[in-house]
Parts: sequence; C-alpha cells; structure tokens
Amino acid sequence: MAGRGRGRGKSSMSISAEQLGFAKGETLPPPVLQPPLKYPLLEYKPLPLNITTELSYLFELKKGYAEYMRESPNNVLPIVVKKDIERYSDRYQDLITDKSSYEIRYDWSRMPVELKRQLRKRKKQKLESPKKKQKHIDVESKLRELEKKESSQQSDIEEEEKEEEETEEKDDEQVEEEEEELDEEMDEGTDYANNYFDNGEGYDDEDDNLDDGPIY
Amino acid sequence: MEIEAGTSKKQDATNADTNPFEIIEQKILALAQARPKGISDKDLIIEMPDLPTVQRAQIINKLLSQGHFDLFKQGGSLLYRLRDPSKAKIAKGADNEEKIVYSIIEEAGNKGIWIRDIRFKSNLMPTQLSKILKSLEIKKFIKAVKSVAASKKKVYMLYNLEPDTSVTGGAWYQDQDFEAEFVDVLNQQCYRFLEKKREQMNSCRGGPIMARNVTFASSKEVWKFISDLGISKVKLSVEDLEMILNTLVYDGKVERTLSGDGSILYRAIEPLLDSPGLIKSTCGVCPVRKHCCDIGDVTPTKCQYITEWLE
Amino acid sequence: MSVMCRKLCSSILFEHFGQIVQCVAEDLFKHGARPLELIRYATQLPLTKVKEALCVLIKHGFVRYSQAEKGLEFSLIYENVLLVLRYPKYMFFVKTMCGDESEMILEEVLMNGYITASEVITKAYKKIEQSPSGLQPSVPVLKEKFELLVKNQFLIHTVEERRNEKPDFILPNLNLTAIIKKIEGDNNSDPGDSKIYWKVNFDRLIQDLRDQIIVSAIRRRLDENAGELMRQLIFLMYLRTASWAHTSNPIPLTEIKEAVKKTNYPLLTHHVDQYLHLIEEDSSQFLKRVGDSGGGQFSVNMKEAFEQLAWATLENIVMERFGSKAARIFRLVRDKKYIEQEQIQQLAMIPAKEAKHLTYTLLQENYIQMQEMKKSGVSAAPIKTFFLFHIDLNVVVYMEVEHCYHALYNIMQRREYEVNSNKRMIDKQLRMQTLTTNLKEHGATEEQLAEVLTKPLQSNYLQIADMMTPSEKQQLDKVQNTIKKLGITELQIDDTLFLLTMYLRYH
Repeated sequence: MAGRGRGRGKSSMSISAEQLGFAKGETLPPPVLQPPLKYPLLEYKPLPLNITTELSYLFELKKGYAEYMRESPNNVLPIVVKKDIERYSDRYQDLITDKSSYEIRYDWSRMPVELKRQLRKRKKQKLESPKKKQKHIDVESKLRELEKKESSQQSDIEEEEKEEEETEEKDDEQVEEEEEELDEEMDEGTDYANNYFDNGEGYDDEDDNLDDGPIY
Repeated sequence: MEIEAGTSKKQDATNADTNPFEIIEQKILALAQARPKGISDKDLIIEMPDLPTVQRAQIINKLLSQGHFDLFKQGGSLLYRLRDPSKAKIAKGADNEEKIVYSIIEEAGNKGIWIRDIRFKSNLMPTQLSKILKSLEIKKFIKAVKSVAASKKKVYMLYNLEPDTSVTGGAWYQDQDFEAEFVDVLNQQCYRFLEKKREQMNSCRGGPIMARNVTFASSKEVWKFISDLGISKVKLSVEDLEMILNTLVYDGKVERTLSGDGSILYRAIEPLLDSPGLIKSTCGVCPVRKHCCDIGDVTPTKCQYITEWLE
Repeated sequence: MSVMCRKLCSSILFEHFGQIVQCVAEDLFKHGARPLELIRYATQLPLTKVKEALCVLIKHGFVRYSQAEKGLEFSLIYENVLLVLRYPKYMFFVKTMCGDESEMILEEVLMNGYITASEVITKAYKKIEQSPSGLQPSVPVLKEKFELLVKNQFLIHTVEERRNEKPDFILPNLNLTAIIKKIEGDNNSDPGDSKIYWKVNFDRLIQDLRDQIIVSAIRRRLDENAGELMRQLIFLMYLRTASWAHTSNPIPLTEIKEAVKKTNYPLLTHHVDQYLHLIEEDSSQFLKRVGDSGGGQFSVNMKEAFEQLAWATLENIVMERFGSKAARIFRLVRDKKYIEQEQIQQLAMIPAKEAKHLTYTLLQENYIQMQEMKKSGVSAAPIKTFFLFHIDLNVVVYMEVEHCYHALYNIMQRREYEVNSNKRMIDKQLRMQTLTTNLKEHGATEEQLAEVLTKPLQSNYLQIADMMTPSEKQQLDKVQNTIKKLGITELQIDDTLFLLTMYLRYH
C-alpha cells in the first residue's frame, strides 16, 4: 500500500478532522445511517410570485402565441393514417389545419429548392409512373437537342449560353427529384411500420448522465 | 519586551549619576536602541564627535562582553546591534532549547502561537517541549492564552503582552464565546439608525445632492446613537462599531465612503435590482437540483416542491 | 452547448411547432451542421416531413443553411430558439412604445417568421375586425403603424442568405387601395410589395430590454428623475456609439442639458448637474466623467453596468438560497477578492462554526472558489498550506445561466404535464366555448345561452353530456391557475436569464 511507511502520528488522509473545524476531542457528528430524503425539507422557500396585471397580460400573449403556432401549419403534423371512426376532434383538427401542401406557403425564391418535395403523391403512385417515364424521355430528348446544338455550332453564342444554362438548371432539378424519389421509395415499406417519433423520452437516455454528476 | 527594555534603561540611568563613563555608555545604548538594525562606528563618530576613539573602543568592548551588543559584519563595516535585554535576561538561567522556544514564541507577537506550530518550528519532541513550556510559564516568561479561534486551543505568547483581539475576540466575546445575538442586535440597530436618516431625505428640499448628503452618518454618530441606547453591557469603541457597520456593508444594505476629513461615512442604500425571477420558482432554490432529471425519483413532473408550491 | 440548453430549446420547439420540428431540430442540435440526407437518416422521418420541418425552422430564423462541398448543410441557431421565451416581452414593449395596432403587427410577423407589409396589414386588419378589443380596423392607420415599427427599427428587411446584402429599413411603396381590395376578397389586386419581406429586428429589441434594465436600476437606486436622465443618456449614446460598444463615446454636458430640457421632468431639468454627479458617484458605476471640456463629458459604461447587475443578481440568489449570512459571506469574499477562512468569520462577524459551514456550502455549490497557497517558511519547518477563497464571476454566471435553463425546462415540462393530465377537461371547455360562439352567431339570446349551459338535460344539442358540473368548473379553474402560475414563472426566470446573458455578451 502506498500509504504505508510514511511514519506514524500523521494521518494519511488529506484532510484531518481539525481542518474541517472539529477540535481535538470534540464529538464528531454521528455517522449517517439513513439515505437522504428525496425531497428534504426546504430551508428557504422561493419568493412569492406577485402576479401583476402586466405579468398576466404577458402570460396571455405567451399563451396566445403558443396556441396559435401549435394550431397553425407551422406545426408539422405526421402523415395521418385513415382512421375507421371519425372523431369530433378530427373534425376540429381539420378546421384548423391547413391540409394543402406546405410548398404553396413558401416563396421559393427565398428557400433552398432542395426543400421542395416532388409533386407525386403517395396514393397516386400508379398514375404517376407513366409521367415519370415521360419525364425521363424528356430529359433524353433534351440531351439530344443539346448535342445537336453543339454540333451545329450556332453563331449566336449569347443565346446558346442562355439556353444551356436553362437546360442545365432543369437537368439539375430533375436529377435531384429523381434522387429524392428513390429515397422515398426506399422508405416506403418501412414508413408505417417504423415508429419514427420519439416518444419524447428517448433523447434523454443518451447524454443525460452528463449533468447528473456534480460539476467541479 | 518594551517594558523590560525600559526597566533596564532605568537601571542604567541611576548608575549614570555616579560615573561619566556610564553616561556615555547609556548614550550609546540609546543610540543603538533607536537603530534596531544596528549601529556602526561611523554612526557613533557622527553622533558623538567629541568621544575619543580609544574611549569608544573601551566602552564598546565592555558592552559586548556584558552581552548588550551583538556584533555584525555588513558591507565591510562592523555593526553593533542591541541585544534584546529580556533575551539577555533569559540567557542567564536557561539552556539552548529554552532559548529557541522562547524566541519562537517571541516571534509570534501578541497573536500567540499554537503548541503544534512551536513543535514544528523547534523540532523538539512533544514531551520535551511541554516541559520547556511549563518551565518558561513558571518563570513568567511566557503565558498561555485561550484563543477564540478554536475554543479548546491555547496559544503561547510572552508574559507581558496584551493578547491581540483576534485571540480574545474583543468586545464580541465573552469567555471565548462569540456573542452572535449581540452582534445581530447591533447590526439591526445600526441599520435602523441609517434607515431613519435615509427617510429624512424625502423632506429635504435642497436639491438631490443635499438630499443624499442628509443620509450620511459618520461611524462616530452611529456609535453615539448606540451608546445612548444603552444596549451594550461592555463599552464599545468607535472601531468596534465600525466592525458592525461593515457587516451591514456586506449585507448589501449600507454603503461606506471616506469623507474629505478622513472619517468613514455610512449610508443606507437601495439595491439595484428587485429579486431575480429565478428564485421566485422552486427550481431556483431547489436543494436537490443535481439529482433532478427526466427519469428517476426527482423529476419536474413528480417534484414535490413544485406540487406544494402550486397548492 | 449544454445538455440542459438543448433540452430547453427542444421543449420550446415542441410547444410551438410540434414533435416533427422538434425532432429535426434536436438532430441538428446534436450533430451540428449537416445535409438533408443525414437528418432524414437519423430522425427516421419521411423525407417530405424533414423538408417541411426545415422550411418552418428556416422561415422562423432558427435554422440557417449554407453551401458545403456536397450540397446544402443545415445548422441550428439555438440562441434564436431561446428568444421565443421572450416574444411576449417584445410584443408588450412594442405595445407601450407604438400602440396596440403595432403590437398586433409585430405579433403577426412573429407568427410568420417573415412576411410582406401588405400581407401583415391585411392579417392585422382581419384580426382587429374579429377581436372584441374595440379598435377600429383601418388600412391607413395600420400602414402608419407599420411604418412606425420600421422607423423604430423594430422590423427589418430580410435578405437572402446567399447574397451578401446588408439589411435595411427602406419602406416599400404600398398601394393602399389594392390592400383594401384584397381585404374585401379581390385576390388579383397587387399591393406593390411582393417579395419584400420583413422580419423582427431582435437585436434592436434586445437592446431596448437591456436599456430598460439599466434605467430601472438607476430609478431604484436613486429616483424617478435619475432614471429619466439615464434614459436620455442611453438615447444620446445611440447617436454616437456602435450598438454593442462597451462604453459610449463622450457625451458633452450641453447636449445632455438640451435633451433633458425636452423631457417633462422639471426637477431633473433644474438639477441636471447634480443628478449627473449622483449617478457618476454611485457605486453602480454606470456613468463615468471622461473629460472636462464643454462643462464635462460623460460616458455610459454598459460593460461595467452589467457586471454590477450580474453581481447584484448573484448576491440575491445566494441570499434566497442560503440565507442572509451566506450572502454576507459572498459579498465579503467579493469585496476582499482573496480571503482566508479566519478573516471571513472575523469580518462577517459570524460564529466560527456557522461561518465555516456557510463558506463550505457556498464552495460546494460553486458560488465561491478556493485556491490553495503554499507558503514556505523556515527551511526546516514543513511548508505551510493555506486556502484562499475568491469568486470567479464568469464561472458563477455560467453556472447560473445553466440553472436558469434547468429551471425553465423543468417548469415547462411541468406545465406540459399539467395540461396533459387535465386534457379532457380543457378540451371540454374549448368545445363549450365553440358551442357558445356558434350559438351566439346564430342569434341566441343570453337567456337561451344560460339555459343551454345550465340545464343540459333539456337541451337538444349533441354536447349534452359535455356540460360542466360545478365541481368540474372548480377543478378547471384550479388547473388554469396552475398553468398560469407556471407560465408566469417562466417569464420571470427568463428575466434572470436575459440579464445574465447580457453580462456574458459584454464579458
């Protein structure tokens, strides 16, 4: 043991009882035999909350704002599975929730286009597939057009550039959309089976322990 | 120590009447006393130009042999330093250990020194040390004083010293017990006095600065008020009261300023802020916050403090 | 960023935007800037929902995006999320400064993140029409109020993130008749400000709340007149100093006198020199005399002011948590900078044992810090160790900021819990309200209403079973009071958080 052989008389503890304010011979407090109370009696109570009219008004504003936001389309709702029974609350929900696609609510000149969703709707998938093919053909035909243009080497450079830009942009968008669709298809099977919402407790488990221990 | 030095001087003075040699001797001793760091031959020549060199050397030698002076060498010149007369005294009937212990205690002044610290400094065995201390105590060279800092500890200091207030605790101690209630009462009374002064500012019509100046009170004024109240059994000094007033400063209720003439002024003040919102919630004063999280026994939804507070 | 801060932000987002937005933001909180794909992968949400949530977050200024190597990356601005706690205070401040209509306009902007002037006027108009506030809806008045908000810089242009534009306050030319037409239902009229969006200028409002704290502190310390003088000084500070400068550029006495003359404070006008002297001499140190030319030059010291205010806050917290004797020790340590235990009990005049206990409690709770000092004495003697207590203000402030986050989170959680466990009753009351308004709309008289509500069994309505019994009503009142008390507490805790955040901003 590391503490051995340090000589006698001197305690190997770094803090002696005297340093803690106990004089020699003074009775030390009895050892604690019970676990501390979960909620020990409060020695100091919080100061009284004086609810002024100003505070009441602020509270109304706070409540009003939160309620409005919660009921507005800003509250992104999960995709609703059709229920067998229509409930009163559903009807109520219908009244306050804007069912239309979120896209029409944004000015896309101010938003990253990446956040647009593809036009296709889940249910109309079958209807959409021919469209998809058309789109595909469209791209190919455009590419062909482009090639033609390149080979013909038009003299009007300005125009060419302009068009090229346009097609490029369109191409980009289309490619992007396709990629997204692919993603969407990938989730399709698992979407409903998966519980993609946190029940609100899950996120605590991870790093919670961090703030449990005392900070020195 | 000073007292002893005084007595030895007196003895010298009486002898001096008979012997002119003694007068010079005494003069040299007085000079050496004025310069505790030591006096050189050069200094003596300047101070006493009439004294022949031979005579001076004779006297110095005599004083050295009598143990009045210690001889030092500093920067090439010799220095004579007055040896502590009390030490000279102990030198007679004491051994080396006693001398060491004595000088350690002497060094501690009127604040005293704990036996443990003497042991560390002297490197003496505990039994030997306590024997020495007892012997010195009996000879009335030193005394043991109970310190208020730790009720069961004694500190040693020279016999003739008046213990420092840090040892006795001053007016605030009775038999080593701190009179907390007495201090609290004085604290409240002083504040009451300053608060009354502050109220006067409302009726002051001479502009804001004059109104503020009305609120000042010197420590002497407060002292007089407290003395007139007659709540104190012991006689308090103005300094005692300043200690109390300073606790009010640390309570954040009173401000201290130095006035132009050097006296200390006090005035009651208003805090800058209302109580912060945080401590109006139970979570602001919660003693178990460290255990509080989303799972377990202490959670915001289960919290008994909040439940009680909401009732 | 701390776990507690993350949880608090998460709660705020959940309360206002629901679970999906919360989930997406939580992911950004944990992982920092990242692309869409990763968010979708981590959250396991359908891609469209992730996109929709990001749209909401971007529009409200909680998420910013930037072009990275492999496409766009999104990151959360948690500070902006915390601002939501203070929205009611911003609205109230604007109400007192610019009137009720302005408050409504600001509220609309806050609800939308950003919005065009014509749209917000239209919305506010409709809201006033429906509300029983007694205000008369008027497009010209609303336009005027909107312009007032812009003039005060409470609203600001949004700029596109990718371009490096500077936001400005230039007013659009609004076509009022077109707006009126729009309100009347003509969707084809063009008010002339499409794509010119406005958002709330939080920086401005934060400064205003900051100034309020300073002014009210001086008012408390000295009096009403001194408070007004402080307000004028801050106003003069704005004219010559950058927004968040630590100290103002020198303000000459003549200008202060000029400004004070315009106020309606005769005593202040008469004694302006004396009041300046008082503020300057006060230990709060908000004002410094920096020169003598032109009768004196003064500088407002915001940095020092918030240090003093932070101290005052901490002293108060210690006082309420551990009692007045602990607060005395705390102030003593602050005053002495470094102090030994023995000196503490002597100067604080607290019995040794109690003083030690309190000092160690404060130490344990990290309100004061301890430093070990080694003093070598005589070579033979062992090295003497002694401990000095001191306060590291920044450490304590950071700790209390965390404390505020924790308290806010807890109170919000509790409120959520109280709402949920009484959901049935709260819903019921909501339904009754809808019913009553419906009946009123159909021309029911008060007596009929009373009859419906009190004699449920005779009523034909579907909601018969939903009528409230007196005990239910009592219970509902209790729940609503509980929720109100919790909500107000949140507002109060946020005040403390705001003050401490201001301190950190300057230090």
